[in-house]
Amino acid sequence: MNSVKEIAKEVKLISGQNVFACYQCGRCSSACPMTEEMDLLPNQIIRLVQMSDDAVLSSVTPWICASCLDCTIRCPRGIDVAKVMEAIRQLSIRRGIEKREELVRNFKEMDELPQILLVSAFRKYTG
Amino acid sequence: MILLGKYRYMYYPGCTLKGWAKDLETSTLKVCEILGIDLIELDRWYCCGGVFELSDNLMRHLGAVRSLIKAEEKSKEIGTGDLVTICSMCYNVLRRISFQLKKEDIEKINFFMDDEKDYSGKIRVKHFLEVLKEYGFNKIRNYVDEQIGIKVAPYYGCTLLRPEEIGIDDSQKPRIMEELLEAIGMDPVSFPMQTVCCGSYNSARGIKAVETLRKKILESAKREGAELIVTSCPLCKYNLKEAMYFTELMEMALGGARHG
Repeated sequence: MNSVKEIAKEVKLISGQNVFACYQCGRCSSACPMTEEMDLLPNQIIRLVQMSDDAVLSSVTPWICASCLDCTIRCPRGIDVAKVMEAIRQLSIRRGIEKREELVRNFKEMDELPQILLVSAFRKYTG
Repeated sequence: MILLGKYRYMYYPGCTLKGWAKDLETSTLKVCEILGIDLIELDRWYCCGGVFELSDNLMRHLGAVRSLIKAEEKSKEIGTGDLVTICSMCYNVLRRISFQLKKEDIEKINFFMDDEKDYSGKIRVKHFLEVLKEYGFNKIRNYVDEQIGIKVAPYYGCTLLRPEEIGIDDSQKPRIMEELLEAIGMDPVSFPMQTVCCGSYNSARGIKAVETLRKKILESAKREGAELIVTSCPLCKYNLKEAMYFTELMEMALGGARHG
């Protein structure tokens, strides 16, 4: 229970965001262009962080978030949702439960990929 | 001493413009040559990282801060603190570093980098579209060689516009590319999904990961009658498959081929 409780606290430490301001209006999820690839919606992630539920650490959603900030500019409570997603990624990497290996494909055609794609994916999928 | 004109800027190309998106760099430099804009590449620069770090990990900012230090050194020689990027992602990262990184974080990074001078925060990071606006879209009109007049949909994506504090235009109703396209003799068409993210580096998991999104964005543009989509971001171009750099279209309209 103790380590579970720490999720909300640690997410706040890493992101500086107060997830308890969220009242579940769902604007983040309606704006997100990547929800079809996600197992949990962004507003559900925020709720789970409020409850310090460790299901957030095994969800694929934070790894799909591309930090495009469409949610962030729409949140009526001023939560930078993308920062929360980044904090969850960091937290799961720091706790050793990261999902990155199953996300990165076999880069056979690496020569054909824009450098910016490789650099960004490398950054987001690793600690 | 280099002889420079009135419109002079330091230039940060970033890794993709020297590789996959070489066309973006060559077309931009051609446009600058025609308009009389001097872009002077930094003597040394480092990868911006592609994405701005949102967590507490300051190490992720090192490359970008170091490039800004190199820009501060170069600015003394050139006589301007304006640093121009063309790639949207480089713009986003460098501009946020120069604008949003907290003072105490910059101090920590300066302290950590023994080998470099301190970054003092004097660099103004600009996107090439802002440079063209400063130059004057009306002035660009005089250089138009060929009225192509096709329906062009500008795709902004996310990094030119968000977060709002660093956006080159209104984050939800941008006009800057439409104004430029109009000036170079195109028929610009705005479309509902022009500010929606293309999926970014999600295509590292395979291009299928962004396929649904690509179809939606392309359909949204075509519904408005667009014959062509333009962007300034190499990753958007890769994910959308059917896009051209706005600078390539400019080069055509300004008669780049005739200028040799």
